[in-house]
Parts: sequence; structure tokens; C-alpha cells
Amino acid sequence: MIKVKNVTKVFNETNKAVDNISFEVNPGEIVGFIGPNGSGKTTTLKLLTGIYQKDSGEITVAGYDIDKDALEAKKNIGYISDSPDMFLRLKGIEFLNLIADIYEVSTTKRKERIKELTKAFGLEDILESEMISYSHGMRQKMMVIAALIHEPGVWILDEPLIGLDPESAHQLKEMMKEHAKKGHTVLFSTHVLEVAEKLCDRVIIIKEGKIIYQGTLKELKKTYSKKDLEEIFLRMVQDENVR
Amino acid sequence: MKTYAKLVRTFLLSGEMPKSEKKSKVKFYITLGIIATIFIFIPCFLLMAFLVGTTTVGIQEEILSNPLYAGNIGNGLLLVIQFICIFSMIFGFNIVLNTFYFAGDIEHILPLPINPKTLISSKFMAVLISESLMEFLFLLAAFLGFLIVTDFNILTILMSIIGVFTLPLLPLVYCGIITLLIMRFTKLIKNKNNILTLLLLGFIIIIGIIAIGYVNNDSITEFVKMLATGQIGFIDVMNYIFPSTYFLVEAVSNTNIGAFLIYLIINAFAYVVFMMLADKFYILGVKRISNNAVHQKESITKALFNTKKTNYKKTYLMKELKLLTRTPAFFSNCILSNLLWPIVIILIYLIQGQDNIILEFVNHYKQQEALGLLVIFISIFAISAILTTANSIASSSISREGKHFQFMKYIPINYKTQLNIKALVSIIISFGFNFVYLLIISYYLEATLIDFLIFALVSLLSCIFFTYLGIYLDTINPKLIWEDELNALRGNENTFFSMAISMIIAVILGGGIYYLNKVVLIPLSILKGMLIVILLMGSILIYYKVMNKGTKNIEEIEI
Repeated sequence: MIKVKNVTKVFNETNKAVDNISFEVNPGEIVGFIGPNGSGKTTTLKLLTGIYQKDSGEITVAGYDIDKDALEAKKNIGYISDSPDMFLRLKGIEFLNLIADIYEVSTTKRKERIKELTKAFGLEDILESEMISYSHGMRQKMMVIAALIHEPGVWILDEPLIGLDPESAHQLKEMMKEHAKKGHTVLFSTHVLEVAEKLCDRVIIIKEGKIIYQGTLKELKKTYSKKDLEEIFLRMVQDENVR
Repeated sequence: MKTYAKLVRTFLLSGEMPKSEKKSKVKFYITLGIIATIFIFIPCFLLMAFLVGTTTVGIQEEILSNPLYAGNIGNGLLLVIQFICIFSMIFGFNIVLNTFYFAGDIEHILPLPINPKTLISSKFMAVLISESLMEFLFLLAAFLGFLIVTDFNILTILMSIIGVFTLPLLPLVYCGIITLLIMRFTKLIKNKNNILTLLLLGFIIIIGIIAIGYVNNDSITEFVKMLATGQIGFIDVMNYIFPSTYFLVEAVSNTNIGAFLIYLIINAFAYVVFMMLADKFYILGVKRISNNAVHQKESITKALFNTKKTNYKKTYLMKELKLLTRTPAFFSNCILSNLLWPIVIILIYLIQGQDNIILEFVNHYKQQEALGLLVIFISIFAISAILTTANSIASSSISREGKHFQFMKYIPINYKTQLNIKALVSIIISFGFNFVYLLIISYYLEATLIDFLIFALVSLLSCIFFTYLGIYLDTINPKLIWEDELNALRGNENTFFSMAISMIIAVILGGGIYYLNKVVLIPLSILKGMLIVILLMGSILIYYKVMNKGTKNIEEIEI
């Protein structure tokens, strides 16, 4: 699970990218992180994975403090970043083995996972090619496979569906559901409200670094009666008073 | 014209190294810059001016003493600028190729309503400006050295100034034309593979052999005499390849305006030809790149055959080595560049002929004379230091991560381990090359096994010290924002400062050892031990600096 308590992140001593936010993602939950561009979604996810250092507050992932037990926390995270153009000179199989070795996945397990995941995403016959020859979508799929190869308990996914074809996007969504069913945790950022609506148990809406809503979409719709999700979202992020 | 100027500015900016946000780091970099200017730029400038000046005086005296000599007093200057043109071509190839075809900006710019001519000419101008900064310095020094010892006038000064800024044009036009033709008509370069780099290596070797063949002579005096007679085959060959150099030197040494006009016409003609070819072939070449990017389908069974759990440190090390050897920009700058040293040393050796200072020290060494032993010992330390820093493996180890630097931060491997693996990569490659050179040198010197082992130990410690120093500098302000891989290395101040520091330390330690041996009369055997202890202590100190402050720096980097 993920616990975030009163976390603040300031860039250049003045720009509060994340402003005193608190939330939890419990076992068995899929939580969508929603907000306009520059609202602090990616920054928050980077704080959770240890890429950025928080200025104040507490973050625990799978029961480990991200600062004090950084390595243990990281071992439990499967993270998909916002850029899939990574180590493009490595062959697909070399990249997956690198990640599997880093997370100490056994030979049998990794063979099984590579087979299963590459089949699911249709990449099983291009693993011997350097990733520079892959399309953007293929690279994105490779990042998804790499993030999941060690079967992490906590998935932190930054816009994971961008660049995926409909079939692969469907696959990933099913995997997310499956993962949550097993009692694990999924937190992902998205701009696509329909995806959030179909997939998430709860959503967190962030605006200018502050959380302006967290709860189920059902509750949200109840509060703003007779409006669809897009309208509600637009109203929330445009409303000066909603902070 | 506005679009052109804006594009040139944008391309130049995208290659620049971003400044650190922390004031203390900015101050640190300014201090390093001042030190490097005092200890590197100014001495190099003066040395170049001195070299051209003294050679020109020698030629003048020879011509005066023998009226039959038909050489030009500018032949010394001519030879120097021809060498500068050769190096400009050698280093320019990769840069032109990357900027024209593989920069990340291309796919964003191509859909814009920009005339291809404007695009290519602005890219060319950006390369010319950014790549020629160092060249301008050397050319300026060479012309200054020449003008001081000759009867200069306002015209020759003016022509020299124009020459300094326009001479790098022709070599880069050549690079541009060859690149355009290769990309349009061949499939040699798929996905920026290493073929061009290997072609380039072949080119360097051929030029090296030509140079060695022509430059081989009996003595410096003899060489100056040959310059005075005008009987230098190398210059004749280069006059055909770089005709602009001949006409510029003719113009400056004899205030020949006609020759200067021909010089300008040659440059203009070359540029026009380049632009015509670019207009015809550039876009077609760019489109062929995407067609080249094809992955091959193979059964997963093959991929899984060699899949097995390996120690993560070994896999991480292999990842670093694979990226270095498979990425052309890294391969040519970090690996192949190590091969330049023997060529440079052989050239220095051959140019000196019978007055050979290297040969002199070798003989001193063979006769076990103190001076020879001392100089060889210091040289091995200094060359190991400069090779380790010049290949930039350590000083760009964080910069090379680029946009995916965050990978270092979210994987469950601590920063100490990651930095040590990066250091190991630099040590393996730098010491690997050094070790081979040491074997050759020791064989040539007829060194004893003990001496060889001491050389190897000094070289290894030197590699370790300067590797960790380079890594430390790169943790302070790495160049993580770049469009193509070459940009991670080009204009990376960490490499430059690392080299500058290695030269300064080499001079201080070398000079110190020389002084202690010659003036204080401390025996060389003790000094050898002292140097080893100093290097060992230095390595331990810088290692702890990297493990503490360096890892803290990594923690603080956020992109």
C-alpha cells in the first residue's frame, strides 16, 4: 500500500509543485490520479518512487519509508515513467534481463514472465532486436513489461496507456484489475476520464499541487448532480474557489 | 533571414550546457574556468604562436642565406593550418552527421513550413560556430605568431582575421558533402550504427600514414630547410585537398589581394556546391533513415535461450559497456579516441628527426641514466592521466544517462554501487588501452619486469584517481538535457575541466618530482615510491569524496 502524509515539494525555492498533500492507496485498490497539465501528478509519482526528494512530510510504500528504507521500498514498486526512450541500444531481451537482474528475479520465473508478458503485448518475436528499431508504442509496451517483470506489489504508473494500441491498452487495464484483485495496489495518472471511470475504485484530483478531491467517482457525481464526469472535472479545475 | 537566425540560435542553445541553479556550484565552475584558462588556454595559445613564429623565422633565415630556395616564408603557417583542417574534418564528421540527420529536433522541424535550404544552412552555421571555437583560438595564435615575425600591414591583419573565421568552412563543407552523399545513396548508416565511425577511423589511419610518410625527416633544422625550399610533399598533397589554405597563406605572407580573392571564391564556391547538393539530397536522406529503422522478427525461444539470472552488478556493468560500444557517438569519442595517442606520439617522434627529444630520453633510459628514468616515469603517469580524462568516460558517466537519468534513482541499487560500476567501466577501458601501450613502450625501452610493474601500477593509480575525479565533477552538474548522444559529450564542461585538472596535476607532480630529484637530490627510487603513495592517497580521498558528496549530489539532481 501507499501512504502519503503532508508531503510538500518545492522547486527553485519558490515553486510549490506539491503542496501539503495526503492520501492513501489501500491493498486491493486501483486509484486514478487526475489533474490538468502541470498540476503535480508526475511530481507526486516521482516523489513516491524516490526520483525526487520531498521537502517535508512522510511517504511509505509497501510499509517502507521511501527515505529511510529506500531500497526495500523500491523493490516493491513497479514504475512506468513518462518517457519510454530508455537504453535504446540494448536489445529487448537484454533490457528485460537487466531489469530482472536488478530485481533479482530467478531464471525460471523471468522466463515465464517474459513469455507471458511479451505474448500479452505482442512483442515476443522482436526481443532480439535493439530497441532503437521499435516504434514508440512498442517501447512503451517494453516499459510496461519491464515494470511488471518482478511482480511488484505496488504499481505506480505515469500515463501508462499513452502510446498503446487499443488491444494492449485493454490488456494492461485487465492486468491492473487482476493485480488489485490479488490484494495489491495500483496508482496511475491519466488524462482520460473514461478510463478512470471504468477502472478506478477511487480517484484523486490534483490542481496546482493541492488535492481538491479524493473519493469515488460515484460520490463525486452525486455532489455535482446531473453532470457528466468531463463537465464536473472541467468545473473543478476551472473554479478558482476549488482548492 | 529571421527564420535562419532564429534557427541558428536555437541549434546553438540546444548544444549548450545548462548552468546549475545553485550559486555555490556556479562559483565552483567559474573558478575551474579561470584555472583552465590560465593553465590550458593561454599556454596552448602561446605555444602555438611560438611554434609558428620560430618556424617562420627559421624559414626566413634559410631563404635569405640561400636565394635559390623557392619556398614561401608562410610554409610553417601553412603546414599548421593544414593540420588544423585535417583535425577539423576528423572531428567534424560525427558532428555534421548527428546534427544533420540524427538530432532529435529533426522530426519536429520537418513538418514546419521551413525551406530545406534554410534548415540545412542554419544547421551548418550552428555546427561551424560551435565546432570552430577552439579552432579559432589555434588559428588566431598561428596567425599572430606569423604576423609578429613578418612585415605585417593593415591588409595582412585584415586578411588574417577573415581567414581565422573562414578557414574552418572548407573542411566542414567536405564533411557535409560526404555525409549528404552517404545518407542519400548508401545504406551504410542504419540507426546511427558504427560503420561511419569505422570509416572515419580508416580515414584517420590513412591521413596518419600519409603524414608520417611525408613528415619523416632527419632533423628539425633539416625540416625547416625543407619548408624553405618548398619541397614538402605533404603540403603539396594538402594544397590540392584544401586549396583555400594555400591561397590564404600566399595572400597573408605576400600581401597578395588576388590570392585572397581566390581564397574567398574557393570558399564561396564550395559552400554553393554544398547548398546545391543539400537542396537536392538532404530531405531524401532524412526520409531514408526512418526506412532503415527495421526490427527483425525472431522466435522468442532464441531470446530466452541465454536468459538466466546474473549478478545485478555484472549486468549493470555490461549495460554500461554495451551502451558505450553500440552508440556511435560514445564509441568514437570514448573508445576510439584512445587510439589517437599513439598516432600523435609517433608524429611528434618523427617530426623531430635526429634532434629527437623522445629518442634522447629513450637512450638515457636504456643506459639507466637518471634523467631518462625520471622523464619516462613522469610521462607514463601524465599520459595515463590525460588519456583517462580525454576519453570522457568518467566525466560524462552521469551526463550520458540524459533523460533517463531517473532510472538511476528509482531502481533498488544504491548510488554508491552505481557510481562504482561507472568508475569500473572507465578504469577497464582507460587502463586497458594504457596497459597495451605500456607493453609496447616497455618492449621498446627494454624495461625490466620490475620497471614494467611499477609503470603499470602508476598508470592504474592514475586511471583510478582521474576516473573518480571525473565522476565527481559530473555529479556536480551533469549535462542531462541533450537532443542526440553526441551532445552529451560535446561542450560538456566536466570533461574539459577534468582534462584541465589532470594537466595541472601532471605538471605539478611531474615538475615536483623533477625538482626533488635534480635540485634536492632525492633518489628516483624514493620519488617513485612517493608518487605511488601520493596517487594512492589521492585515489582514496577522491573515492570517499565520490561516495559521500558525489552520492549526495546525485540525490539532489532532479530533472
